[in-house]
Amino acid sequence: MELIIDRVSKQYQNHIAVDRISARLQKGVYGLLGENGAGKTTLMRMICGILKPTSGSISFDGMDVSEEAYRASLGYLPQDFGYYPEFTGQDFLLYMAALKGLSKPQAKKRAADLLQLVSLENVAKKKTKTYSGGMKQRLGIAQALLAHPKLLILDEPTAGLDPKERVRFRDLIKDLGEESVVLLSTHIVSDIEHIADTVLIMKGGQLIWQDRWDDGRGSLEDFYLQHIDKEARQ
Amino acid sequence: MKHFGALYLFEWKKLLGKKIVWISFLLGILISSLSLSAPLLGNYYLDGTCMGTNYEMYQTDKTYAKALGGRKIDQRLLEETITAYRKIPETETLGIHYMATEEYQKYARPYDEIFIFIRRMTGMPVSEIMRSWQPSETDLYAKRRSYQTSLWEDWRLSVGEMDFWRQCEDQIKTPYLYEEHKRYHVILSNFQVAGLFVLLLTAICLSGIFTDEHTRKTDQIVLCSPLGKAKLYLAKIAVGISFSAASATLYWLFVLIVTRCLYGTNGCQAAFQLLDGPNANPVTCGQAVLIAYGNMLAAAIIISVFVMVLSELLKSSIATLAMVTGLLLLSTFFRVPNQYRVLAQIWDWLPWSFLAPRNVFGAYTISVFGRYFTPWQAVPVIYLAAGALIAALGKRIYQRFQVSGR
Repeated sequence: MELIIDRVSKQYQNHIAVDRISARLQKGVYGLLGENGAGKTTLMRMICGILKPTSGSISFDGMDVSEEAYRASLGYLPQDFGYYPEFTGQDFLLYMAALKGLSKPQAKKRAADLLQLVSLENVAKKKTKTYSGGMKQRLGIAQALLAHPKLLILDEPTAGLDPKERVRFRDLIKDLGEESVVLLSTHIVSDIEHIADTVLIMKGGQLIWQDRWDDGRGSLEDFYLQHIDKEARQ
Repeated sequence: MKHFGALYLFEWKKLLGKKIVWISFLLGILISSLSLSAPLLGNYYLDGTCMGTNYEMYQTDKTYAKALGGRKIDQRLLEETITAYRKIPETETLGIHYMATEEYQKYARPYDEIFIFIRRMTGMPVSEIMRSWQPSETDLYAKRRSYQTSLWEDWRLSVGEMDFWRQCEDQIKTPYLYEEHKRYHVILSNFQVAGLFVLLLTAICLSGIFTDEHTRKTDQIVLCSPLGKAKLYLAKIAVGISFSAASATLYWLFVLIVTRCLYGTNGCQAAFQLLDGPNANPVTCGQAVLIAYGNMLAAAIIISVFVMVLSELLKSSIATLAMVTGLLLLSTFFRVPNQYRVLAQIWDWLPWSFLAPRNVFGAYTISVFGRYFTPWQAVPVIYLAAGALIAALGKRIYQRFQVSGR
């Protein structure tokens, strides 16, 4: 199980959003850190196949990002996305399950399990327009997990969650990393410190640091700030 | 087509969950109810004098028309009509309308429908029919042919087209059998308005079917799903087509029911020429309404595909709606003059113009390997082919969409 990002770039006229990034990600949780505008979301979108790189290639277990089979292995939680106000939480998951190619019985069972996992089973029949921000975020996490993805891309997954939920979801993501490649980005450095096996730091569209992280290295936040400052000075 | 059914049903749910769909539909029904019943509402005035309510006038005319039902428009009936009309005194010098005279009400009005028919068939002015025309069945049908030929020449029809229409004309039995047909007159004269409403409803409701995914930013999760690119596109297009077809059908059924209640059932077997004298389409009024419905259905389908693809191209439902509404309005105010034959034919055959029965049953034809096809035979086929082409183009636009810059 391996995601190969090979010299991927994305250029918009005079601006390079992602600059020749290469990485090989195997099973585990990867934390992506970077300032606003560092290119994290652009990179994630390219990995999800919704944004075409200007150059380079992305593949997962030999499948190119443009293939339907690649998308079948993928679960994606975007940073900011909307819902269908006329759908209930359950409808939303069933719709997403249909889009992911799950059969009707599978979809029903998986939707029920996930609604329970994200503690939304009591509001499953309520329309999503009545959901709070945190409830919507939990529903977003549930849709990303629908098809048991082998490649899970989570852009700011803990945003909008209360501290208790955040801890619960950190544990859940850690568990998912045992069986899948999980790439998550967040502004909350402590989230990555707790769950990521490997940390990737982006700045100005480039991957400036990539290595395994363990508690012995001290505070990730201090390391991250020092590293960013050092890069800025250079 | 595994999963297509589920996606199709969910897309319907999204569409019907919008309030604008129901509001537009109910508003359209209300406007059409008023439009269909308008001939019966209010009072009838002649030269500033109230002659009674429109409903009373309609009832009287209906009684007279029913009395003429089943009669052939032959020498005898023509003579009766002209004799009755010649009892009306010269009113031109008195400055009053001939319909305001007692003689008209007493003798001529029972033959009003036949008099109107003569006018429509020949294009002769009222005064000429009333004062100098010698009633003759042979002359009436000969005048009709000559009137037809002059119209065809004005419309720049080719010799081959004229021959084709003459052959169609030979299939129409003469003398015509008169039948009361007010219901069909109301349906066909309201058909363009009805069709424009269906197209407007289609534009209002379908302009968001793709763009909502972008404005709600759900496109990110949809497009990275295995079935989010090809099957979802087909499901959305299928829902749009079904919606427009269902709207056209429901609206057509509504028109049939309302006119049935207001104007009765007569006229289904009446020759279409009772409504449009010089027309050479060998159809009955009932068939004409069915054909007009079929063509409205085809127009609604191509407009639905056009609206959906245009909205995906522009990524804006408002811009799409503005463009389509502009085109619909233009069709009601503008016509290309007949001397520019090719342009006039193209304009008349565009979906927003083609809703008018004068274009559906118009004289322009298309020739394929020497065989001529009437507008109502050719245009739906052209629409379906164009719709498939536009849908294929839309698929490319949809699948190439890049999520960026948010």
